[in-house]
Amino acid sequence: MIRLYDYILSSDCYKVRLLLGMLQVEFETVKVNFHPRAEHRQPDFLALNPLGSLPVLTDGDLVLRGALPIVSYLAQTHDPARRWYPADAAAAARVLMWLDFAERELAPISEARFLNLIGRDDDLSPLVAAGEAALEILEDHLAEGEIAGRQWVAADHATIADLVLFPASAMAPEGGIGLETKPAIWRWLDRVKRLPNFIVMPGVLPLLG
Amino acid sequence: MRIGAVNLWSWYPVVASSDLQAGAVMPAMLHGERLVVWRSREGRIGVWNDRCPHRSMSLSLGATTGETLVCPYHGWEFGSDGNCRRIPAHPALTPSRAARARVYPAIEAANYIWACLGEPASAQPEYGLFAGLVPEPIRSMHVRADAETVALVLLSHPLVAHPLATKAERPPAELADCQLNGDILAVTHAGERGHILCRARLGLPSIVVCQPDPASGSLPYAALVQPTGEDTAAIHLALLGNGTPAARLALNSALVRLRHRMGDLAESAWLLKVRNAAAGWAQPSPMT
Amino acid sequence: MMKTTDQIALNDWYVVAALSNLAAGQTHQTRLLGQNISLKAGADGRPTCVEIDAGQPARVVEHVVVRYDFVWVCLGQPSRDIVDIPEIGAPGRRFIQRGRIGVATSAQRVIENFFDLSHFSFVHTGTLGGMDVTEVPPYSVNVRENGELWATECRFFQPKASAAIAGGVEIAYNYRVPRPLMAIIYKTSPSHSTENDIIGLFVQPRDETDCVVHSFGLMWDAVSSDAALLHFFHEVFAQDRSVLIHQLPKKLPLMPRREIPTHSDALSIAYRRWLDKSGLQFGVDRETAKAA
Repeated sequence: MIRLYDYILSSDCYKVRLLLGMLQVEFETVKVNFHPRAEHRQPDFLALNPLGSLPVLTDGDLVLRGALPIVSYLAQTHDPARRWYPADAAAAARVLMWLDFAERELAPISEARFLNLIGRDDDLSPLVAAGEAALEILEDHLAEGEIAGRQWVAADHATIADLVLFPASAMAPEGGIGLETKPAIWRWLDRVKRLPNFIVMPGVLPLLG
Repeated sequence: MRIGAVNLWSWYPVVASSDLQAGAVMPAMLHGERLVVWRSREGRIGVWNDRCPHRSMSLSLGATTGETLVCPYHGWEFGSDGNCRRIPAHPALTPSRAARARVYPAIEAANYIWACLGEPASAQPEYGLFAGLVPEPIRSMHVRADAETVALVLLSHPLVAHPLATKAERPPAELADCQLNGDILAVTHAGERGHILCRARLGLPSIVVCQPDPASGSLPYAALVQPTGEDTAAIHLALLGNGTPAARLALNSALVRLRHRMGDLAESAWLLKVRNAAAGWAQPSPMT
Repeated sequence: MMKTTDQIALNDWYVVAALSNLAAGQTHQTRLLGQNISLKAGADGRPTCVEIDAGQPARVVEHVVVRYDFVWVCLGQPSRDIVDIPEIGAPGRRFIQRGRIGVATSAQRVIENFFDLSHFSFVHTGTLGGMDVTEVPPYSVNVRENGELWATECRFFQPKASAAIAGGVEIAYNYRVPRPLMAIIYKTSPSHSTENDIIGLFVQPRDETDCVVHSFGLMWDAVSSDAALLHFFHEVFAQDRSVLIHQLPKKLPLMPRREIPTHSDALSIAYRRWLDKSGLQFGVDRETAKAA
């Protein structure tokens, strides 16, 4: 049985929960006391993942840490049609390009969001500026896609790139970045929410009606 | 301000019709006012103040069911007139008339949705410069520059975009002429592919219309400027007439390049020339 | 940011940290009522606090007390004692330190959301409320002799009322608002047939439109792990947070015409009137209602 070490408010864990839901995969959840007890920094957890980070996924003897390796593994083993993570080299590279963008360029947004969440007093303006710059690039990409008739980030259907970009984009306001100036992102967020088996996380408002 | 005048009686574009499908709800800003723009399942548009009268939640995070807009906080349902129709906490209750969202005049015309922040002075938006051509929306882009600067930049630095070009085109080599005729500011540029004529009507919300030489193969386009805040604006880019996806992509790329250069272009000699030409025109008072 | 001049706000006690999260020798920087402060846990466990101006320690804060595993501070002269919560320390219930969560809005907006029932079906769909039953039955509100605001006989049908529960059940709530920025819920416990579970919120107002929420639980649930209880609380609170940050204006309007209440807002109406009478300025908007 696949086991996910999880924290409900972690956007990285959410990326995995989203895909697990889309793929309709059965799994066990181990709830980690991330805040305030910092269980992920205790020896027991460090034995599993020396980086002390979430998510961690185990499947038999396989132990994976990090949202990207986990979603890539799940997409390759539980999606025979290979739509979520295409097998074709160019298509896979396009997906990877946006996974990388989500990991690096959107990190300031997740960081700002998390610092706000745990009530830290730091000056977040450099993170906010970096996040704005990243979302401007995503906005341009999605807008250009709409002109060319594309609804999704890396292919003409949803892939793990869309799922991995979703949390930081959807929760940008919690990181101090408004979405009123990003209409293409706004429309794409709605499309992601309408994917079959979509689930929210706290901080993502569900579709009403 | 002579260009991109913000007032309470004009119509301002807020979104392209095709970007607001039935059932869609989105936020917008106009002159610092937070708005919710939505379209019911039957296609009816609404532009309201983005504030639920109950506890001031942003309605733009809500949803439409049928012909009502539902607030995501307590589920209050509002009809197209802004009146609250149902309060889920008290399903049998007829909500008070005071529980009303602020509704702004809104109109759908020329493939855009327009809103007025007060009483509209005219039944239709003023877009005579389109000269009978129908704008085909390409993209709406937000910029960190005020509406007047944006309009001046668009007039003084037209987008050069040939659909068959394989790389970025060079901008026009010369601002050949700048004329104020009545309230129409006309700027002629001379470039590699011939002339480009850019025009805007002063005193009204900015619509900059650019017509390249037909022989050049480039298509005429319009940029409608929405003043979102004191220092911010949205540019609604549209082809005037039909065009291929390649043409639309080319214009969009040119606009993105313009945005990157916005800071420099706002200080350019050409922009100053256009601004000076506009300076001779006095905005009439709304009463005349 | 400047320290407020609102004496009513200054002369009250506020939680600024959970003691168990303040390691010995460690310094914790935060802000209260616009004033930067620094807390330090002494070797003997007793915390000290100084006001920080322009990055430099400026004044020692005289009133620092540890109570209920929280560090309380008063930047003025305390006009009354720290609130009394007799259930904390009493045997039977399990005390859960629920961690601090920042919210970019006024403390008063947070408190009002905390005691509101009519949002359960929409913001906490599937847990504290469901789309099938949205009606809020009438309840009673009164200000007690000791000045505390209470709502009693509140009820709501909840599909999943806590981490311990699997099915739907009607939950009874009493709300206690002993101070402007503090609220305590007494709710039916799924783990005890007669006694309540208790959830408390102590809101630390950093600025007028920004706060940190400190929270504890007193639960009869002896079965669920700490992590399970925390995940449930964090899920519920983060859902509230996602609407709280989109309520504009952030300060709580006290004039009745700006925001239209309905019957289920009886406690909110009473809370705003109670705040109005207290004279509190910080975090509230006392201007005449603008034209809508």
